[in-house]
Amino acid sequence: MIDIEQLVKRHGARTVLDRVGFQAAPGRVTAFLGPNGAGKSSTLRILVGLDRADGGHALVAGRRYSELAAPLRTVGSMLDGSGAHRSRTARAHLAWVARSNGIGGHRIAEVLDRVGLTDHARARVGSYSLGMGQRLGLAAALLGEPEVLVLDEPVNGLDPEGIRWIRGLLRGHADAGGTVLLSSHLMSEVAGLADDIVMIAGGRIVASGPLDEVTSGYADLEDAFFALTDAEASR
Amino acid sequence: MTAPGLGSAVAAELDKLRTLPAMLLALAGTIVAGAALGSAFAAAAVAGRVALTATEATLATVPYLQAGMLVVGAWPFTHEYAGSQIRSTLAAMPRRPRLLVAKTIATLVAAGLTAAGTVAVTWAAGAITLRAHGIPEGDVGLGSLVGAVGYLLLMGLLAAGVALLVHHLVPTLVTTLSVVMIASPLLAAQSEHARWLPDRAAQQLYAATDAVLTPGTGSLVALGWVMAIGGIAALRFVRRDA
Repeated sequence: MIDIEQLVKRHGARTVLDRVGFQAAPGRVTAFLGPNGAGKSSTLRILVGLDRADGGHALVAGRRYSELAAPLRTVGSMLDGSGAHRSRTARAHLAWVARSNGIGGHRIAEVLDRVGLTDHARARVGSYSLGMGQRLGLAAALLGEPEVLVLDEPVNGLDPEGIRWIRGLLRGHADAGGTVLLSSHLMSEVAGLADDIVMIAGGRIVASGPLDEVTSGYADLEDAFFALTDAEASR
Repeated sequence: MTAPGLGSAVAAELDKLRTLPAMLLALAGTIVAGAALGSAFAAAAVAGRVALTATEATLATVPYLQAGMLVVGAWPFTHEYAGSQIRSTLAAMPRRPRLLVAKTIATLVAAGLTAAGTVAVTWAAGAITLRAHGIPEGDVGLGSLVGAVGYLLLMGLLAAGVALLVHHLVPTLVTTLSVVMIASPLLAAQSEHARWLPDRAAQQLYAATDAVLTPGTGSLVALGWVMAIGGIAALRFVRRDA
């Protein structure tokens, strides 16, 4: 369960997030949509404790991220790429991440297998393609068997087969009762995967709710997206 | 499963250093350079018919070996910012004060091992070289050798403090190397106030030549520099957005 309420973030005089609020529920895939620069990443960065909010709060399982004793066992997150140093091997990267949260070492081989990197576990991350880096980032997110997954543009750099694979993985996580929040600026990626939609434009939430509710009155999700986000842009 | 605490954070930070090739290279490189320099200084003394103990040879190498220590001290902090690892680190260990304590402990372990290993190997190389020429290695003078380890450790910590402040390896090395290799000797030739520079003050640990500072007060002055720079950097790290 993710609960974001009245979130405000300013960069100098510019308001990046203007009272952003929404929820992502267990058992559902929530897609966080908006044009580039709309405030998706800023929201997710605050959610996982990287940045500080100027107002409001972002809670996971009822607590602030920094209050979680072993955060990776509650929330798995992937924000832009592998998150690993290029000269380390995937295995070594996952090993320190596991150690930091008291996660058993057996999980390393399990998640490497899950994301299809077993054969590249001893290769340096610097030699990875963009898609392999995404897979490693996802492996780290899955390491602690978290209830909640927070993924910023997870399909970036994945090939069609990879996109299909990640959709299956996220669907499976939600169907097993987990909470999935993923951001995207590509409608085609999330149509057919998302149960709930949250749309942001210019730092404000312009629509949120179940997919069919948000798209009702529009031809499709893409149509709804442009109608809703353009309306905000022209305000 | 119990909640992971400081112990897990320290273990994770040590894991990071152990699996970072550049860190191992800096550590091994400093020790190997120590062996080469220790042997070279001893050989030069033998060739020049100058009386020199293995300990004296070791102390003479310290100004050169500190460059290696600066790299060893900088890496634990700067490698986080080469790419996106800092995000993984903060996601895994969001309590920043605790993370900094863990990182400092891991850095102390790595820098301590490097400093102690380097001084030991340098002395051994000097002693073996002297013996090879039939000259005894002379008094060990353990106090000044321990002082040299302390000095090297302080230089590693100084680089760690600067690294936490500036985040990147090259500016960290440019800053710290300019201070210890250029500014310090230049200022020392001009003014007696140069004794308050971190490296000059810490030098009293193995070469107590100053009229004002003792090994004790000298190391405190150097530690003061480390705490001041590290303190400002830590405050910024804890408060700022990543």
